[in-house]
Amino acid sequence: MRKQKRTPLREKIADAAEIPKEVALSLPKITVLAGKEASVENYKGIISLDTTCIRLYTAAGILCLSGEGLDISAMTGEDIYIQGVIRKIEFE
Amino acid sequence: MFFTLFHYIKGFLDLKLTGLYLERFLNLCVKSGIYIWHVRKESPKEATARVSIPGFFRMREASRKTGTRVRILRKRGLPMFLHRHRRRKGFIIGFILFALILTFLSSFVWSIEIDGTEKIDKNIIRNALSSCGFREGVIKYNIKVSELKEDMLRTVPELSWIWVEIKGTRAFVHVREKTPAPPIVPLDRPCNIVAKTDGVITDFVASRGTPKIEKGTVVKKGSLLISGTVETKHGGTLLVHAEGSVKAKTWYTKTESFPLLYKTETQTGNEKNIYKVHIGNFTLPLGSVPYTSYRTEHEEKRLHLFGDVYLPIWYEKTSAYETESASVLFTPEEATSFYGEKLLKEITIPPLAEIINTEYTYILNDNETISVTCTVSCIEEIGEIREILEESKNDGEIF
Repeated sequence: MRKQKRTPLREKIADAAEIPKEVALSLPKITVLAGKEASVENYKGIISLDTTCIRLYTAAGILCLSGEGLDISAMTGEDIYIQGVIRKIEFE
Repeated sequence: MFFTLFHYIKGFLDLKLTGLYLERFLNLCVKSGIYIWHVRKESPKEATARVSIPGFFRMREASRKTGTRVRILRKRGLPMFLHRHRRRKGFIIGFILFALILTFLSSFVWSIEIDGTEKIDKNIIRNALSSCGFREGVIKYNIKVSELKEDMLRTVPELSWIWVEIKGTRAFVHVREKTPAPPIVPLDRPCNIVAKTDGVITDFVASRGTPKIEKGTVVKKGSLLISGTVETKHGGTLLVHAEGSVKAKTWYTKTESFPLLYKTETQTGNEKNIYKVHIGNFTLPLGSVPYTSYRTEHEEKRLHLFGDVYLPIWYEKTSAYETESASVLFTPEEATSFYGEKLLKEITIPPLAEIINTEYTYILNDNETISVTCTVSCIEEIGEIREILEESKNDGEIF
């Protein structure tokens, strides 16, 4: 049996150098404004999209935002901005 | 907000996307650097989105790979608006005309404001400005401000400084007046000190020359106070430049007769505003005053564009307050103090004089009128240098 997974070297170096993790490891950074707007930095792609649930692929796994009347107000290669009533944010 | 405006100017498209793999389509678009916004999936197979015009043309590959149909719902933004209305000649002509007229009209000087005048009448400066070629209605680009300033200083010798600035269609002329230099009699010229006004001498110091007065001497205007003729030890006389200070008590009076029955006006509290619109020299009155006796206040407002471009259109607001006449019968004492204060304001006292007393007196003319006299007594310097002229030298008691 394998022991518990060791911390990757990349993360150790990033910790030592005090570089923000979202920059060093391209981890997603989620900003939510009062359940009305959310932005996800460092997302990798959209998995599924509809007005009640938006699922995004990120370096930390699948991120699922659910709510009502969701739409993408803007998207670029790194960031995605979501508008609507956000009820839940979960990693699957 | 800023981004919305930016997108509006650049132009964008409302798209309808139809296909089974919309998420993949969006991922591909984003990876190839196309900016997409307002994405909303309405049903499993359909979505709406907005995209810029160059982005739209780069979507072809992604749509081919994922089998997504891209349909334009609406073309929006300024370029689209202009393109749609390109055949409306009147619209374009109107827009160009608007720009031309605005530039044309704002290239004139519409009003000139002068400030800083004290003794010179503003109209004199206005006339001088127009004789130098600067009047309302000239094209502002033809005016060379530095030349104009020099011309103005030459034409109006009373000015010591002038500044002209043109702000939009208004010109501001700031001036400073010269203070006239007092006539200086050179120290080597013999002179006397004589009285400027009538008065009673209270104090004097003669630092050079022979005093001809004493404390309490009553002098008239022009009488000799300190003589420039000095007797020498050897019995002869010498002419010097007299110097000294002579203080005297002076009086200024004013008498006028007034009726004892004083008429005043009180406001009834009714008021009405009347507006007038002026366009150049043309006046359009709106409404009239319904009262028989009233007091008015005026207010003017001028129309302007962008803060500085003033147009020759203004409106005038006249507030009329209805008044009632009332009358008060004064006793002689009341009348004296009331009218006396009024007279005091009319008396001009030299600026350096020190007021020591103010008095009101009255004489009853008959039952209806009263003569009120206001007397102001002052202490002031009354000495004035007067040169001893050549003839008097010949006549006089010199060597």
